[in-house]
Amino acid sequence: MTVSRALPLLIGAALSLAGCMKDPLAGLSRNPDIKVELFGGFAGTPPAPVTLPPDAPRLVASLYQRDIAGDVALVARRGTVTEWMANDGVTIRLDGGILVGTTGLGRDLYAADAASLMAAMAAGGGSYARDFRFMDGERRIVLTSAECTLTRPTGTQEYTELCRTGQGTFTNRFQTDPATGDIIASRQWISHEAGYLGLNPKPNS
Amino acid sequence: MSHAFFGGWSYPVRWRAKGAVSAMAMALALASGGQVQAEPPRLNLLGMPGSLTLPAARPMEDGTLAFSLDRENTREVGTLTFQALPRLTGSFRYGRFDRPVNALYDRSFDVQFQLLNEGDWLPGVAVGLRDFIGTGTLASEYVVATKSLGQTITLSGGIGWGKLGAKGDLGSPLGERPNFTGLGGEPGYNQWFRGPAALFGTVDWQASDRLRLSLGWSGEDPDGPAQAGVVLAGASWQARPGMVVSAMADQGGNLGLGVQFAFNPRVAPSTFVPGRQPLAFGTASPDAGAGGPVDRLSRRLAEDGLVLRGARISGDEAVIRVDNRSFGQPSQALGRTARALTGELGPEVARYSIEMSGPGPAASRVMLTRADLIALQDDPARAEKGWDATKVGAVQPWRDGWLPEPSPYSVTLHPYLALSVFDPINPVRADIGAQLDARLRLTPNLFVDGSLRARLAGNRRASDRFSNSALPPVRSDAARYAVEGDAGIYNLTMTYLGSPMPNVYTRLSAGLLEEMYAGAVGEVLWKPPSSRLGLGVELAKVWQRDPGMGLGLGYYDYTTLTGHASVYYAITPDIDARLDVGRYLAGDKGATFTLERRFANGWKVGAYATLTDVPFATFGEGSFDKGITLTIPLEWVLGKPNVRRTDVLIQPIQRDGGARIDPGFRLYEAVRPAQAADLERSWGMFWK
Repeated sequence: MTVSRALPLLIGAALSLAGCMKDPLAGLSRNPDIKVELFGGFAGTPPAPVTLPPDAPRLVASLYQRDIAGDVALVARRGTVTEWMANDGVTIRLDGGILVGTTGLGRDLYAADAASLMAAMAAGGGSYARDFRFMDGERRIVLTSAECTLTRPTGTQEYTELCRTGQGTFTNRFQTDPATGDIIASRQWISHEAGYLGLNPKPNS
Repeated sequence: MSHAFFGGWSYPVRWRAKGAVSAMAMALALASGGQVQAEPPRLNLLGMPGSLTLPAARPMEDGTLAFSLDRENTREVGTLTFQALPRLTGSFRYGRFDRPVNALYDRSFDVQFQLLNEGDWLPGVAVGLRDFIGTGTLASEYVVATKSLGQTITLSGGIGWGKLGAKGDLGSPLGERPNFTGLGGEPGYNQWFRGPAALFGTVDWQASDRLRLSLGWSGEDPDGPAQAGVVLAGASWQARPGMVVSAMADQGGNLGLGVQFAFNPRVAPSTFVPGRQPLAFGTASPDAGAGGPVDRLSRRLAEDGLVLRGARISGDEAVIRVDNRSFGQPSQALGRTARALTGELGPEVARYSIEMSGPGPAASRVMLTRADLIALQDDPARAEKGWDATKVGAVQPWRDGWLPEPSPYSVTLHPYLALSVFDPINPVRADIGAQLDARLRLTPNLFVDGSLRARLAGNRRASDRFSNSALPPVRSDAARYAVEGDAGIYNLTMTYLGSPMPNVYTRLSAGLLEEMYAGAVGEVLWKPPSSRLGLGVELAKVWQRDPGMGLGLGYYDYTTLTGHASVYYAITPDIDARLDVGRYLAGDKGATFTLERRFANGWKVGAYATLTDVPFATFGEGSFDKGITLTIPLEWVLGKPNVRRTDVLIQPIQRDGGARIDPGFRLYEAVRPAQAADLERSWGMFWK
């Protein structure tokens, strides 16, 4: 057998082994001190199912790129920052309604600043810089600086934020409450890979 | 003749016990090809930048690893290529070369260095050495320039010497080329850029996103001088992200087919999977239960697979010792620990000192304040500001404050994959089986580790390539262990880890150290947490084990004293250099030089060479020991926290000169990731 014939075979064998051994022994692991690890196996500690607080405020979150939507519940509040969680453990972090982070979506938004956008909103529009941070596959933080312009057609409560980065542009939209100025619905950019996140009030809550 | 062991080819890849699961994961990652590259690498059939069989001055994306297979009329080779630095490409190749009488199985190494990056007007320029260590089947040197014209046309051209210069249209501009002498394995310095030189060139047309057509001219010598100077044409098709298939033909009737897989360790194949999200800083866990702060802290940490081994809370300061058994990234384990401290200890405890042991001993004391953590958790620049607010010092001795071990023993059952490659009869042999790892923790610093292996299937047993070495068969008899060791004790050791004084780490292990050796090994390492320099000493007295993986030591009656003094130096946080000087397993004395690229996510790719006082002729084919090492974090493959990793050693030839014992781990590898340089570059994970 030669190199070029043997290696694909070997990879194939490894693959089929991985495929047919998807934790068939997980049941053995009754004793917490005994761990059965097969491919990707982590049998001793399956991730705990997420139970969302039943009485917490909720929003409807949509991931347009994946064509999915679901509830997220408020799980933490620190000053103007709120944290929302979906029942699959995905979290969304908002600062005054502005998206400043996600977890569990794959290419997450690690952090974004909200202060400059908040100031522009208070002023009814403007141009400013915003920093977005992502974590790359090497687990390093990658900083992306965006030049953004916020506009609001007169007589409306809808803001449009157009941001330009070295990699392209994205457009965020915010609908605000005419009385309080709070953001009540939005479509905000997460990352090039994850696309946009829609946040809307839950109809009957 | 049963000892017709030509060259000691067998067993150059030793997948260590802990690497077994990930061997499959690696294969999966490679085969899945899901790692999208911004620009797919353009590699020629020999796996180096270029097209057809010719080079181009266009390196791959930094960090890219590629594996190429090439089938031509007279050769069949596989090449592993690494973009070690943005301008430096290196590769290792193995394959069969047909000759009039018999086939030659040969290994070769290439390097290419980008002298000038391509600009708007100026071409990129690179210089390369093809097959520069070895018997020189492909030995060539070249200078090449590459320039794009518009979006779709790329021109490359250059001058080649050696095989690439066979046509000799330029004469011998730099003098005559001396004949190759020796056993192979030595760099042929005196031949480089000497002898007849010829021009080569390629035109590439990117006909569509996936299809590239190439036309080339080569002064190469495929089958002898009569045919030197050929026109080549070919096409390559990007079948899927990370996978390219190529075909080419030349004027002399040579046909070539190739396939290439490329991925980048800096691009994770799987994105981080949603799982249990951590509680915010300052939030107590509802599941931590009642009891004192230490009890709650211990239970909270256990939710993340972290074990509280010691705690001293006095005044406004908490000093804790935590054992990380879950996270591949120490910074993430530290972040989870800090969350637990802010949540389970009251605001009166304002300062935290965390000493974290992982696979190795605790190697740094990380000092944080509650106020910083709470204030920074919503700061968009928390990764950078958080690191600035963190102090890293040396581990301090512990006398009191130890807590009882909650799980004194642990057992893990997992599959293993053992490979033997580069045997010319059967270049890849593999065994799969089940492995049971057990650890018994006696005290915080003392534990017993053991692994049992049972082979379930495979063909390594069919090998009859036993040693013909002129040296004691300290490694070249590895095949015998594959043949006779169907089931048995892979290793069984008692290990003491200590830190007798700040910045000094010690390790003593005794028992069945590895598949082939039993004995005792002691190691001392000096490595301050913020220093680039580390110094180490290792000494071992070992006996060669019986091949059956039992308890016996009688089969070989070989015992030796082996040991090294080591200097470790971090040239940058991403590049380590290392020099080991000492006495090797066969009693030979010499030194090993290692260079290693270290990625922030735990991947490592290294290369080493060992020169000892064994004459090249006694060493046998290959002349001296050299090889490539890969470390693959399982976390990278799975996309969720995991402390395990795979170490792969690829040696073109495993002989007996320059061989060392494999004591499972060495202190530096365990200490370094927990220290300042590595923590800083991965501090983003602290907040995950």
